[in-house]
Amino acid sequence: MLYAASPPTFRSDGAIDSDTGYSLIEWDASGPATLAIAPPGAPSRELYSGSNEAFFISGLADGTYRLTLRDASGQEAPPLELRVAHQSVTQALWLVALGAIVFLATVAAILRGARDD
Amino acid sequence: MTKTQALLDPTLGWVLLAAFSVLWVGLGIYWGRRNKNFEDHALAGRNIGLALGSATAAATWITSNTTMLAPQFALQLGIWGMLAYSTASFGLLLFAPMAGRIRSLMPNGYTSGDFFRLRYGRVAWGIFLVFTLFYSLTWLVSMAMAGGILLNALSGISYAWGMSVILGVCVLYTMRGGLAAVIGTDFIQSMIILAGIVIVGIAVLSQVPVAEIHANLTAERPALLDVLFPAAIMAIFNNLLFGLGEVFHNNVWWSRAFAFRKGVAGKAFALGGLIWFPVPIAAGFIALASGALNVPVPASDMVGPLVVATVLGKAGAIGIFVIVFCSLASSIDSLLAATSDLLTEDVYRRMIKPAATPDRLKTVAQWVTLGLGVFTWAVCLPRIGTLATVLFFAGPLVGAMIWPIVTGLYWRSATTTGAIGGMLLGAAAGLACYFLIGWYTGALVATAVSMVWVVACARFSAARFDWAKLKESS
Repeated sequence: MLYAASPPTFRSDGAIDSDTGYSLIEWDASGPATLAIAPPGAPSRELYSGSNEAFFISGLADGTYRLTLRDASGQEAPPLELRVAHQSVTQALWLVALGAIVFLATVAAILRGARDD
Repeated sequence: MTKTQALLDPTLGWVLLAAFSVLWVGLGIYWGRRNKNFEDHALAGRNIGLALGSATAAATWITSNTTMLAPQFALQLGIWGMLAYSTASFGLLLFAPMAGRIRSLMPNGYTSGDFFRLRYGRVAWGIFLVFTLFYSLTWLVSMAMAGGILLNALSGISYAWGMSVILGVCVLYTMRGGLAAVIGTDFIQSMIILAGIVIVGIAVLSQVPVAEIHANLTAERPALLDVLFPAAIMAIFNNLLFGLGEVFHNNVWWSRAFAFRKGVAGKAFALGGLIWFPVPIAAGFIALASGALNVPVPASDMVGPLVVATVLGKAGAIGIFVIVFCSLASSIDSLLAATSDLLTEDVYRRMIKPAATPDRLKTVAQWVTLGLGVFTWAVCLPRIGTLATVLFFAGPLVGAMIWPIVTGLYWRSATTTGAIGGMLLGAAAGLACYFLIGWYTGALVATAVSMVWVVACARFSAARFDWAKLKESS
């Protein structure tokens, strides 16, 4: 008697949120699987095909991405949403400015040396 | 569990592990023959020259983090991430003038703890010891864990065996040879690491042109090239200040400042920083090429080895195994030596047995090294995955120590109140921001708060420190 292999499944229970543009996508499959991604308003493209059960994705711009997973027999996992919303650029620039001030003050203190020896 | 295949056959992995283990232990025993007392063991007789000095500064700073985490940073945070990682070289570059100053102010010093005790008194010294031991032990544990995990991923050798062998080898040669063995092996290890990274860089460029890498990133990972990538630009100064704090306070670097021949320390640290600066950039570039080379990455921390194995095949897999082993050994040995010296000098000699003879101190330092090894092994064995991340909590602690150290070395007006308040307030504010805002603010906020407090206390203080108090006789 033949048993049909169960379809592949993403390990994440729901949509994945990322504020850095990167995320680890993991799944369970009984054999090789193909992972594809559809960026917002663009056609789907293949990310990976093989026996690994994880793929690290990075460098994504803001937007909602649709991930699909298919095994060799054509069975598909329910699609997974990856929502990317980067952190505030304003907050980042303020922290850069604070960092620059602290760093320059440290350099000045060292290079100025001991003036009252 | 994520399924990934090892790059090397376990038998070949064991052969490589055995060969390099014999080499390091043999050299450690050979270099340890001349150590007669604690000064020879802990500070290599205070006679390290420029070539060994520069190599040990660069090699110690090239940890498994540099060869593994720098590609991960580039893959996650792009060009800025790669540059952010390389800013850790400023720690060595800025420590260069400080090392000369340390050597002249404390000709008989042994540890960074000596500085805190003599400059700021016992309370500040106690806080420093808590902070630095937390940092050093978590760094040691994270390195040993990384050793087991990486050797397992690269060759299939079990985690427990890989971690035990690499830790055991480092403990053996550090115990027998002391700092001389650590610095000697660092020299060879740094040559192997640098040659390996150059070969890999050339191999990657020969397989895929930069224009193709750029086109691939633009099409598939645009944020990695974005000048205003928020997480990446926030990481720049946080990383830089974390690196400054790590180098400025830790006895790994102070022991080298004391060990280098007179007039060598400044040049050695500056050269070490310059040698180190391009390493994370080269290692990061490898990760950025992964897309153009069609290398699937199942875990971000494995991107470096996977690209190298793809580009160079079996030879590349052997090369990355050797590079990883050298990177881990060059950091674990330094940490073992520096932490055992700190515990021997600051705890055993200063708190328990002030009259201990130099011979006795050397023996104690060797037993402390063994004890540290056993402690690290016991903590690492259960492989608690989250343990390595504890190292990141140390960012606020080390950031808070930057200004007490810098002003303590250069300003007579720097005060004990300033140092204690700077360390405690800075660490508290940094840790609060670490949890409330994000990891990328911890070291930055800690340094900023500590700086304001330390400067304010110095500004309003009438006291003037007598530098001669730092010249405590040994």
